[in-house]
Amino acid sequence: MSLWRIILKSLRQHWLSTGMAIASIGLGVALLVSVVSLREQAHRNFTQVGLGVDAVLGPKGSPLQIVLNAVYHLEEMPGKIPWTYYQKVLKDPLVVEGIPFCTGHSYAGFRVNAIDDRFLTDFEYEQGKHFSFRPEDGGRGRPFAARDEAVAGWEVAKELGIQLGNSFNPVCGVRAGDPVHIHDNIRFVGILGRTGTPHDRAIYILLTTFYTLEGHGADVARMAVDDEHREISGAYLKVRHLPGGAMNPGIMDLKYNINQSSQAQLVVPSEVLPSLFSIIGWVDKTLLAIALLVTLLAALFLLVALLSALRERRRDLALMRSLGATRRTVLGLVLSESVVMAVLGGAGGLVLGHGIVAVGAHFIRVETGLRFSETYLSSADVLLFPAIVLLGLAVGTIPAIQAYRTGVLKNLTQVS
Amino acid sequence: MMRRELKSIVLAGVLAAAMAVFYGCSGSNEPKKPATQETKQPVADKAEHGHEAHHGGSLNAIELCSVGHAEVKVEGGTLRCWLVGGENETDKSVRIPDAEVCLAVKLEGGEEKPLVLAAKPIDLAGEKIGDCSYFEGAADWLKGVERFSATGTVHCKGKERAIRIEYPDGYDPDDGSEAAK
Repeated sequence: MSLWRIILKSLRQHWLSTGMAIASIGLGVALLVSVVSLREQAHRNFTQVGLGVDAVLGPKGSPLQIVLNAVYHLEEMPGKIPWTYYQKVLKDPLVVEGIPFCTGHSYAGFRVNAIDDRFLTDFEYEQGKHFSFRPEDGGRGRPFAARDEAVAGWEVAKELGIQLGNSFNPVCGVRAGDPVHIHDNIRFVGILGRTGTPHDRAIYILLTTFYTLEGHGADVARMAVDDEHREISGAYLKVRHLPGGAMNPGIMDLKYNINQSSQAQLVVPSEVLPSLFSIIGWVDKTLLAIALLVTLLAALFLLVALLSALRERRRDLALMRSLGATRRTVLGLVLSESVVMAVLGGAGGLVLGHGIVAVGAHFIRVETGLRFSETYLSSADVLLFPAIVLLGLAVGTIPAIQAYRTGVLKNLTQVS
Repeated sequence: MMRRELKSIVLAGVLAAAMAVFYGCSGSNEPKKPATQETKQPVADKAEHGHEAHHGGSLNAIELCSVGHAEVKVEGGTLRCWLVGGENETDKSVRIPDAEVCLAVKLEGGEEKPLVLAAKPIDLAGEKIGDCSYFEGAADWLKGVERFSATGTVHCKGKERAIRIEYPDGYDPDDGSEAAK
């Protein structure tokens, strides 16, 4: 009888304890895989993707708040900046392009952002990728061109069932109970193709539409025509890049210069967002600790299962020894059993873990528009199998030593 | 013999498993600076006594570390000098009324040269001459200079104060190093 058949027979013989040990390892691994994957993808989303924005020119206040509002359509902008200052920044030789915007309005829980029309045509939400209205990309219609026209992000259109020609009244604010611009009917003329970014979760209108909304009054309406009087919430800035694609180091000087003014600040998202992780870092550390504890408990469970199985099999092992099996064979048998159980649990956990990521990714996308993928290969995936084999070996060591030491005569005599 | 071998195998296995599991979970979540080609490494050390040189230059205390700093950087034949805050406020500019700052520069061989830094107001910060934090001075002999000392005075925070520049190491009177003595 081959070693593998002996192992399989033994596992089948103790199917209940074997199954429970495999299941507990699977659960531990699933938790570990999903936590590490979600954690790494969150870091990637917030620190590397960049969403096409090199820097955000925003008002004085929390830089994190500015990035969350401008790039992720969350939070609120802490103030406004003068249009004249924005124009001054545009003249800096490092700045290639700016796209000004005004935030602070909403509709049915989604942000309504007033933005320069170049956003829909020139803006790259990822390197080389522009917004699309083509049906094959999930879009419809065209960019806005008139005061009463709007464009919906893909997610907004999907969730609210928006069709071209539908109209809406924007809410002046982002909180429940904020007043509605009841006299301003704005019509959807376009739906953006899916980008898999937070930009899918907003509605876009022209800057002039924002200034001339009826409820805003004459003072704001004047901003539509008077440059000196005009204010914006902020602007996406594109700065010069070096031939290799890296951002020009001069961005640091530009940031310093702007930040010395009393009117605005320059925020580099890739610099600010890691601070978000230092705020919520304890959450993922706690989750990781729980996942490790569960895996540790699973390892203990495997150890107990192996030890109890060994107790029942002492006579079998003694018989094997009497039939010519060496001590090493017995040691290898028990270690192999442990590794097989760990690998089976690991494989199950891997599948379950990615299933958890798939479910989590769906909810995260719905809530924040951030793109998470169940097929993302995290460091946990890469190291899982070597780690699980080592875990199996480590856990199997104690029972294997006991099996190694099993006395032939004593155990044959004891039972017979 | 065999028992000893077995023990070492067991120990190695346990250690390797622990390392693999912990390494696998640690992931890389170090905060990232913006992806610039050159990571703004200063001439001297980036952080001196916990202060950060935001332009990649060397930080030199204006009298005391708590008063402010002169961040100095030599680029080609130009000496750039930003007057910034004291303690950890080196990301905030300190404006002074001086239109120029005169320095007596001592080069490595002991040779002394005068250098006048002129106020170059930062337009985006709303500065103007007489209320300026940034100064520049150019001289042919500065080209290729890697190390020098300089002294001068500035009117800062209501009084005339001495500045001492130790380039590229920086100057901090609280520092016990030779340069600070």
